[in-house]
Amino acid sequence: MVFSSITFLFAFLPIVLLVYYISPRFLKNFVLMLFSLLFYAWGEPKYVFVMIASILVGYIGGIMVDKFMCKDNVKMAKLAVVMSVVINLGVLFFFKYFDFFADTINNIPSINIKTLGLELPIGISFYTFQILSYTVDVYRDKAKCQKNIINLAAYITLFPQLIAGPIVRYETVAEQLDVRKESIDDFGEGVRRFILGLGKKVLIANMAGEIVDSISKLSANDNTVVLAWISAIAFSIQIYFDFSGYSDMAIGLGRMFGFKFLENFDYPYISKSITEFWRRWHISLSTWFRDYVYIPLGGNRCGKVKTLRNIFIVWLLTGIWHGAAWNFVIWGIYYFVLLTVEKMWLGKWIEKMPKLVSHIYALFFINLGWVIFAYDKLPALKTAVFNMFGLNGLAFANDTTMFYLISYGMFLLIAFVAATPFPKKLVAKFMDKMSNKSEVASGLIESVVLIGMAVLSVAFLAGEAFNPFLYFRF
Amino acid sequence: MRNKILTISFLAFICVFAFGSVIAKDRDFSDMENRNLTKFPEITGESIVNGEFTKNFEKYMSDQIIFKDFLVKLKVTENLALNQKYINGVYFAEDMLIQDYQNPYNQLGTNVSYVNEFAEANSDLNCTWLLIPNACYVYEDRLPSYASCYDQSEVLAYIYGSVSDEIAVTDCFDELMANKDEYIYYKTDHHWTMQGAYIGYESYCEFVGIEDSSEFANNTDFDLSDVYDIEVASDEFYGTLYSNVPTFSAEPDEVLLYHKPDGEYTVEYLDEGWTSDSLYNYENLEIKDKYTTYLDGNHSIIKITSNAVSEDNGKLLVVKDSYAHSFLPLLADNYSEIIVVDLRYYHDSVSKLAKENGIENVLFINNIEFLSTDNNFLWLY
Repeated sequence: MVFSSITFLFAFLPIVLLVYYISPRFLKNFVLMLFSLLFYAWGEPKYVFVMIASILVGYIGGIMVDKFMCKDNVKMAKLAVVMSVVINLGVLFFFKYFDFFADTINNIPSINIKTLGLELPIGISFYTFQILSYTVDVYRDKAKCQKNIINLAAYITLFPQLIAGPIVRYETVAEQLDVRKESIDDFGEGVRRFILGLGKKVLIANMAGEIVDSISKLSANDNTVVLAWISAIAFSIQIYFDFSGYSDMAIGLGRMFGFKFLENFDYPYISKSITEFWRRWHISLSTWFRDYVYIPLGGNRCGKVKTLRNIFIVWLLTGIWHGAAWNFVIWGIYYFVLLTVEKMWLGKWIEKMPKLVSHIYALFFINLGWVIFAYDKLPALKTAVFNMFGLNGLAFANDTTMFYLISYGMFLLIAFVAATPFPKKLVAKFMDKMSNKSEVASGLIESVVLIGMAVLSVAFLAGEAFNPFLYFRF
Repeated sequence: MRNKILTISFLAFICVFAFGSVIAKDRDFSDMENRNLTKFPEITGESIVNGEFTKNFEKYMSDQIIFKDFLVKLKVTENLALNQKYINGVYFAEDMLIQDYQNPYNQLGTNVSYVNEFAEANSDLNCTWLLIPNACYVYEDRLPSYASCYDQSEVLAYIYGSVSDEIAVTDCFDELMANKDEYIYYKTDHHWTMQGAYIGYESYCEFVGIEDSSEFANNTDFDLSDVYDIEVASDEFYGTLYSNVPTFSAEPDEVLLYHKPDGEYTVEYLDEGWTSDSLYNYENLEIKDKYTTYLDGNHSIIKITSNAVSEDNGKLLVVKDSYAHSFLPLLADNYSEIIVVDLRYYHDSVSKLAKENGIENVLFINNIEFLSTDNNFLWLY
């Protein structure tokens, strides 16, 4: 199930809220786990068992690590961690990468491995990473071993973050799993966040997706250089609002049940360098790779060459984490190169550049990065890039281009502004002023606006608008 | 305080939609969208395991949500507010909705060759083909700025160039264009009006050399109402294009019915086994798709017999799409017997049908959009 659906909003959510809040404290995690399994099984009746098996592996692994650590048997504890990691990564490899691997190997003559053609279990990359972080954190003594399997399962399956993140670390919510206090303030905060996320996903990301989709269907005669750019920019907008909208909804829903997740996005498109972009984009993933791959490999403490190697490994993995295809490998290496160049040389220059120039520089490469990301067939990727730079002999612009600009110019402008912190600041200022005059009036105005946004989002869902799910690969 | 108010508002919002949708009776059909709505799906072990149940449940939820009609209109209104004038394959043109038309050639070429093959295999039949443009051709100048549809006159030239010698092709492109200031296409539907169909009828009659009302045209006092009683049967028609992009402010169309005072007709709906003595089914003025008033809409095979008040040219077999529905009531005055088949539903041999009924003249009636997209011409044999 996805949050941006009528079924979730008006069937699943009211029922889970009702059951959760009337359940006694000791049953609350159980209720969450049960509904989360239902939430997952809704679209994936079979694969729910894969997830349950992974959770069992993580649970047993945690207990074993804990036992051996208590007996000071570090060797055995390490073995337990390694086993848990190998099994979980093995499952991930089997479902997500086996076919890619087989296809690649099959290029060597005389090798012919059968591909499996399995559908990818939704969210497997997310929950696998969470289980890994749990076992490793127990081993590192950063978190206590969770003896109650219900609590651990509730953490892994917790439906707000199950399908598309953020990747919630066990240490972030360990305490909250055992003791948390729901409050109306948290709930209201959660509602605010959820509706904003819903609006981002349904009103902005979906419409941007429609632009990309309709441009991709144009005949070569109608396509132009400008349209290729509009398509690329629209995709950049789609992926940001889709993903960060989903994170907002996850954080908001978590809040409604008393959980506090960490932020996952911090206005990435206002970045003035690629380095800054990756501090602001999908924060839970980059910090995961930093803490569980980069630093264990030695980080930047073992000389320049090893640092470079470590960065390369992290970005290669980041690339293929996003999907089992060559474009994601290229995409990962692309960022490795950009980040290395910034780290070695460009970084100092960028600081001295006028803000506008560094901003354009960053957006140009981010946008180009999303083009690489968008096409998992390399010939299509080549066409797209060539189209953008006029290397396919396309006209610069034509009537169709003008029609797209007229039809979507206003929308794109709104999306640009919405990607900056500016609207939030403006609203906060206004609300502060209003609150000083009348608390109730400001609350009412805010509610009218937010519920209005929710109704508009529901209208788009009911109108059977375009509602794709970008994260099926993860 | 703000959080309290927001919490209450949000819970109220969810409850209104959740309970409202449960309490409101499920609808079978949406008049506004002109389609059947999903019913509550059956729960079986199999449907749950293969994901069929959940998929249909989601469809059911979004189809049966309370205030559905309002929500769909709200969506289109927001598109319009953002200056988007092309939604769901429909242009918001000046004063009317126009269906988009693009890249026709794949299916078009196939369809033309099916018709060619039929005519060549049945050279004993006299085949005539009447081609009708769509609103996107006649009203291209009304499309939003910089919007364009594929030029149907090019398509027409292509058909003339590739059609078999066994077929006499004609069209009413110029005639309709010359009358573009008249009400010849619906504003909210993808069909031509009966006024438009009359223009097509005139040009057909001239082409095959049969008598029509246009002789009155030589008379300077000529007026259509001298020949026909013209009835405004409805002024509340919201057509198929409206169903694609409903708004709060759309203006409805009129449905006009032409009656020859002395005409006597029998329409046999052979597929459903009933008969009517009117060319129009007035009951359909009560339903959403009022275009079905003409000859009761889509049927696989019907037979129209008349007293041929204009001139009796004998029998005719018509192979058609729905543009013929408002055209045939006019043609009924020129033939005492017309058998009408629709290849979307009639899958028996057309040539056999002609022989069994002793028919020599076959008329194909197609609008360009249909001819470019329909894939049932393979049933023409």
